[in-house]
Order: sequence, then structure tokens, then C-alpha cells
Amino acid sequence: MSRVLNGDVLSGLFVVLIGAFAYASLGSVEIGVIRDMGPGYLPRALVWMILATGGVLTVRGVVRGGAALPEFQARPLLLISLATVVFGATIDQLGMVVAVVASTGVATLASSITRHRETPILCVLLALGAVLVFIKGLGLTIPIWPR
Amino acid sequence: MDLISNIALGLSVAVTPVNLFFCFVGVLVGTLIGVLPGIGAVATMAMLLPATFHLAPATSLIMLAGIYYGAQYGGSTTAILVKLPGEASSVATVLDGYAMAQNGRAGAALSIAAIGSFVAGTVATLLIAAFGPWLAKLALQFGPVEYFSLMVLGLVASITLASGSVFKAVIMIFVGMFLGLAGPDANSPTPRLTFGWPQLAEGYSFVALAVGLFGLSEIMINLEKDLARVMPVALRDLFPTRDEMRRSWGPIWRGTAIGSVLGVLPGGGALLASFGAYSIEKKISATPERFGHGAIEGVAAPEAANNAGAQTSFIPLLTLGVPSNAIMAVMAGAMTIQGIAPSPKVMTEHAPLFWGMIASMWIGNLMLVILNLPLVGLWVKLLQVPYRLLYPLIVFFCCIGVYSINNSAFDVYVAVGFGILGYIMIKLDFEPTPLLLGFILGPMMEENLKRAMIFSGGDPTTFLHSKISVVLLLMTAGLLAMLALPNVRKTRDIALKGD
Repeated sequence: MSRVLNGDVLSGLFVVLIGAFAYASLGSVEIGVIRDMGPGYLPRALVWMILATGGVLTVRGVVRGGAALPEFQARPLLLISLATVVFGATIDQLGMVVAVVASTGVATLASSITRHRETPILCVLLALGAVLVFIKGLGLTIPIWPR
Repeated sequence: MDLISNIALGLSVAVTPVNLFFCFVGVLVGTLIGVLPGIGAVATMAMLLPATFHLAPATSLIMLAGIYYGAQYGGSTTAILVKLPGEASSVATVLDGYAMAQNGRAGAALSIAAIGSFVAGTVATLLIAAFGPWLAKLALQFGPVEYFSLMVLGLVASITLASGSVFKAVIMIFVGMFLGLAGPDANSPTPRLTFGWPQLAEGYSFVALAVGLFGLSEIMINLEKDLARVMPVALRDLFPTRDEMRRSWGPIWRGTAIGSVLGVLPGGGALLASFGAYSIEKKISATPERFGHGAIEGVAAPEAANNAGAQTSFIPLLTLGVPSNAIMAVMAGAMTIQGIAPSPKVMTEHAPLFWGMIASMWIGNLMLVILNLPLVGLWVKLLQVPYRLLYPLIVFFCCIGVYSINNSAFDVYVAVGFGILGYIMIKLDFEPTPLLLGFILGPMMEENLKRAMIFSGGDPTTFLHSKISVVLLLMTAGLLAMLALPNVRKTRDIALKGD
């Protein structure tokens, strides 16, 4: 298993995955011909090139071997993503203060360098700063409190 | 005489109180993020794009440009004082700048860096003013055929700068172009490549893409590493000695020349310029053994070069309408958001904006010299802000920056998607810059390709019927051939790794 799966093979599969995503987004768009290209002409060509290059990368990795597998750490990846999603999920309905406090709270869990005593202070300061700078200062139309 | 009246027009725009103020804000923010490790100019500019919405176009571009060259200054400061290049373009400065600091000449190194940058900035500004109109006039003769070839050249040239695998960089260009094509299409009533989601009808948000790829993913990667606290060195004399000044003039001028040339090349910019200038100084020096042990030439040359390169890399964007690196891609995004399509016509149709921006670069450089030398102690203090407090702040800025463009939570989720994509890309050695360039250039290339094919009745040899196009394609082929040579690749890898 580990002999076949190396950094290059993983890179190739990653590209193929992107290609598959791109293919899925094509839908039934009109292709057209070269002298009168439709909206799908270049996108479809690109999808095939992505899939082909991804395939080459994968095969090359299997045949020739490749770089070592990178190490992934799940904690920062997942929690920074989650913090951002929490911000998006709360800001429309619950307003700036809740969104900032909730997402900052999640973000501080992303690493062991955090000192949890500081988190409440950080949340309050960030929420205050966000309201003053972005809502009062720049005049963004975002509710401060839940509506 | 045109030159003088143009510069006068530019100055008259740049010195209005509003523009002066935002130029100042730009260089201040730029210096700040240049000093702080873990956040780059591309992500910052993308996050602040929404904040520039309600500004006039000229003001907004002046501020964004200020962030760019401000970040260069800040990056050099930390490169010299604490061996931490805040930006990639300061990596060359670390070698001798930090050595000087350890010899107790930190102040002199900072001053020479500032003086060198200012001289370079002034010269480069004049170069843009002198050659810009000429290039733009040339570009006005470009039809779709020439444009398409130019963009191919630009993309290929940008690959030569990518530090990883060339093949992977090409793939990222394809991916970027594909993503850039999603959304509205001029020739069909319904948006394409959107899975039928109405939120994607306008395409992927550029800010979400840039913030995800360059901001969020960077945080995820940084949290895996240990960002150690740094102990700054003491600053004694700010003033260089007479001998140090004498040694620096040559490198400053040569660095300026090299930086100006390398900056204009598509794919060039500050990074390539600083390494090029450093290695040339080392080569022509009578005492190359001093390099790496605190040679002031090794600070003066790359600092002059990176600033000159930063300035002249605006030339392709402003005169041809083609962004040449990630920073310029963000500038192009900012122009589009302000309703100005990047093209050779910008110079004539938006003359005050164009010349105002050029003039403001010179003013901004002056501000940086005045701002940075006395405030250096403050910047060093800022370096002491621990990353555990900084990164939640950056997460917040990423969120609010993306959200506030359209008050769209969906865009925030898109940014998360690109953050995860960027994280995997960094792990697997894919460069994000080619993707960003492809994203910006994709729609322009499609438009020109379509038109070229309609005019020629679907004949691909039409690209060989125009002289300009043939020259551009030959240059592209030359670059590709060069990249295939193992020798060139080795040199490139060494140069970009900073030895």
C-alpha cells in the first residue's frame, strides 16, 4: 500500500478529484464548434486537460515513485474551517457580536498555543473593535445584535 | 513635455488630502503586515478590497498599492533585525542584513535599505511614466490574436517563477482558468458551471478565492508549525558611516536597474529582482567572501531591486491590462470591482487615475522613509505580539472581508472551500499563484480566443499570421525550452530557495 501511495500519486488523485468536480459542474452547457465557440467549449477542454494531467501525475507517481507523503494535521484544518463556517452561519441572523464571539471561540480551539484564560478578553475586544470599525466606522449594513 | 504635464496631473491627484490620507493608511497597513509574519500582502489586499468599495477608484488603488510596497519595507525591517523576512522578496536581505545587525550595524542596514528603496522607487516611478504611454500605444494595436498570445506568454512566464514543479503549476493554471469561467457568459442567457446554484450566478467571488487560498490556508499551515518568539537586537546608530554610504551607491543603482527590468517581465516582480541583484553584486564584488557576513552591498542591492521591481511590475497591468503576478491579480480585481476593466485604454480614458496612482507611489515611498526610520522601535515591539492572539484576529478579518462584499454568507463558505483547497495544495507542493492568475486571465483569454476564431473562421494558424503574435509565441516557446534544460531549472530552484 505505502509503496504505491506517495506524494505524487496523492497529488495526481487530488487533481483528478478537482477534474471530477469541474466535470460535474459542466452540466448540459452548449459546446459549439471551433469557429463559433459555445459557453461550454473552453470549460470542457479545460476539464479534459485537468483530468488528463491529473492522470499523468498519478501514473508517473506509481511507476517512478515520488515524494514522501505529507503529514496532515486535522485540528487546525478542521477548526479554522469550522470557525469560518460558524461566522457565515450566524452573521445574517444573529449579528456581528454573536458571530465574532462564536467564531473566535472556535478559532482559539484550533491550536495548543492558545491560553484559554485570554479567550474571553480576546472575544470581547474583537467584538467591540468589529462593531466600532466596521459598523460604526465603515458603515457596513450588518446587524449588531440578533434580530 | 508630455511627461512633465502627465506627472503634474498625477501629483495634483495624489496630493489631495483624501488621497494623501489613504496613501498613508496603505503604507502603514502594509508596513504592519510586512512586519508581522504569517500574513502576506495578497491576503491583506484581498481582505481590504471591500473596505475600498465606497472610495473613489483612484483612492482605492492608491491605498492598495501602498499596502504592497509598504509590506516590502516592513518585510525588510524584520529581515534585518530578527532574521524573519516578512515577505518573500526580503529573503535575500536576510543574508547580509541580519549579519550586519549582529555586528552592531542594524541601524546602518535599515537606513541603507530605506535609502536604496527610495532611490529605486523614484527611478522606477519615472520609468513607468516614461515608458507606460509608449507600451500602451503599442498595445492599442493588439487585436484578439495578439492579446491571446500575450496572455499565454504571461502565464508561461509566471510558471518560470513558481518554485515547485512546472507541471503542477500548469495544472493549477488550468484549474484557475476553469474556476474563472464559472458564472455569467456573454453568449448565453443562463450562468454556466454553477451546478444551478443561484449564489454562484456571478461566478466564484474573487475575494473569497484569494482570501481562502492565501489567508485561511496560511493560518492552518502556520498553526502546525512552531512560530517562535523572537528577540530583537539593540539599535545603536541609525546613520551609516561614510564608508558604508560610499560602498552602497553602486549596488543601489545596479539593483534599481536590475529590479526595474525584471519587474516588467510577466511573472517577474520583487522576488526575482531581489535575488538577481544580490547574486550579481556578489559576482562582481572584489571581495565576495564578505557576503553573508554583513556586507552592506548585500543589503543595498536587493532592497533597491525589490522596490524597483515592485513598482515596475505595475507596468504590464496598467499598460497592457495583463496582471503579471498575484499582487497584480488582486489589483486587477480591485479595478474590475470599481468598474474599470484593465486594458491599455486605462491610461487615456482614466488619465487622472493612472497618473495619480503613479505619483502616489513616489509620495508613498517618501512617507515610508520618514515613517519607518523613526518608528522602527515600534515595529519591533509589534513583532512581540504572539501568534496565539494574532491568528484569531486574522480569521476574523478573512471572514468580514469576504462577507462584506455582498453581505453573503455563501461567499464565506466558498472561502472555506478555497481555504481547504489551498491547504491541500501547500501540502502537496502546488503553488497558489498560477491558480489565481489563471482565474483572472481565464475569462479574458476565452473572450479573445473566441473572437480570434470567429474572425478566422476557426483557423488556429491565425496566431501565426500576425507578426506581434509570432514574436510573443516564440518568446513563450523559448521560455518553455529553457525550463526543460536541467541546468536552468537547477539555477532557478537554487535562486528561489534563497541558497
